[in-house]
Amino acid sequence: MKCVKCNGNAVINIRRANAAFCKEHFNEYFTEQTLKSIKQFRMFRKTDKIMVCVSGGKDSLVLWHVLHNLGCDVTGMYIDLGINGYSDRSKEKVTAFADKFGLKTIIVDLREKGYPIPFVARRAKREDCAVCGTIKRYYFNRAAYDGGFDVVATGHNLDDEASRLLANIMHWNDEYMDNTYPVLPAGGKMLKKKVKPLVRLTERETAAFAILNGIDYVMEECPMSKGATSLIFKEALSTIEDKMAGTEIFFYTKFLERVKDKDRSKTDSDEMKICQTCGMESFMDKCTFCRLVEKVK
Amino acid sequence: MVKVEFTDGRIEEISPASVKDILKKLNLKETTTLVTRDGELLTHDIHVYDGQDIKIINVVSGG
Ligand SMILES: [Zn+2]
Ligand SMILES: [Zn+2]
Repeated sequence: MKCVKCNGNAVINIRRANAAFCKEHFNEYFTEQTLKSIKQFRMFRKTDKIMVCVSGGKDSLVLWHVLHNLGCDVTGMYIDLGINGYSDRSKEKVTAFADKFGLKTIIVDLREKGYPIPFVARRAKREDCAVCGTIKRYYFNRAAYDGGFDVVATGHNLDDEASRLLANIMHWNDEYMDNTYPVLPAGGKMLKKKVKPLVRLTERETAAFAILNGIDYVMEECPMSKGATSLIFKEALSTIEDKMAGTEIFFYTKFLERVKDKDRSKTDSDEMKICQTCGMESFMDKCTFCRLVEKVK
Repeated sequence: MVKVEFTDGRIEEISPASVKDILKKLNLKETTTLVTRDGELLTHDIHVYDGQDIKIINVVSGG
């Protein structure tokens, strides 16, 4: 196969785009698709201070790399979840990557904090993934606020968002539908704007970008996420996409068109309280995080 | 034969064929995999010859 841009040898073919690219032109395509989302959804400005949430997986490391290459002021924020083996290996990928490209990082270690995920889940008698979600969200929000960042970027890709949308539609979860939008606005005085610059790119494309650009990522899955229902929707969607290339991006972008005029301004800061334990904004006198971790003490 | 190594370390032997046909034979989707030979990505039309090793990377991540 030949590159559609230069006729050189292609390294990847992308059926939904009816194209094949050499390394150079694939990188160009990838960056263009990222920039297109950044501009279309007004994710951030050139001068904004960006925090990118990184896990050691391909999507977040690739996003970090692309934003850095675009000349953005970007810092990677990693949370060591305290999952033996998996967390050690993913942290190693993050620090090796940051060292290799000379990037700024913030690392929060849940073992040091006394809140490793498996421990908190066991003590609080709650699902690992639910506990992980609450704790991660808390520290990401907190780090973004404490660090004075303008915006928080995550590596969610087209497959993540389209499969989440599919799951929400199948459950008629109208109220969660909007979580798949590429920009989630700031809320109150402390919650920063969240953006997903990779929503136009598939997992296969982010993996290819990582391989082509020497980005070494953790390939194993979090051992706690085994049997996640999100994977069932991903599989269903990839079965359709494999037979009818282009269906997935059509599904997702048509959704975005339908909801683009919706009012996304979040709750007024007047409605927010301050958590009496930690000082972060909350809907209640004590935030979800503090209520969770007090069960552990 | 072609030696195929998977993301989880599993190894399988398969007859030489194009990347597209190898994926088909292994019942894998083009949309959820990448194939490399000597660290280089291969497009689906590339033929893999007897004695060559390839890696099949599953690109799906959960969570
Ligand atoms: Zn080219
Ligand atoms: Zn609190």
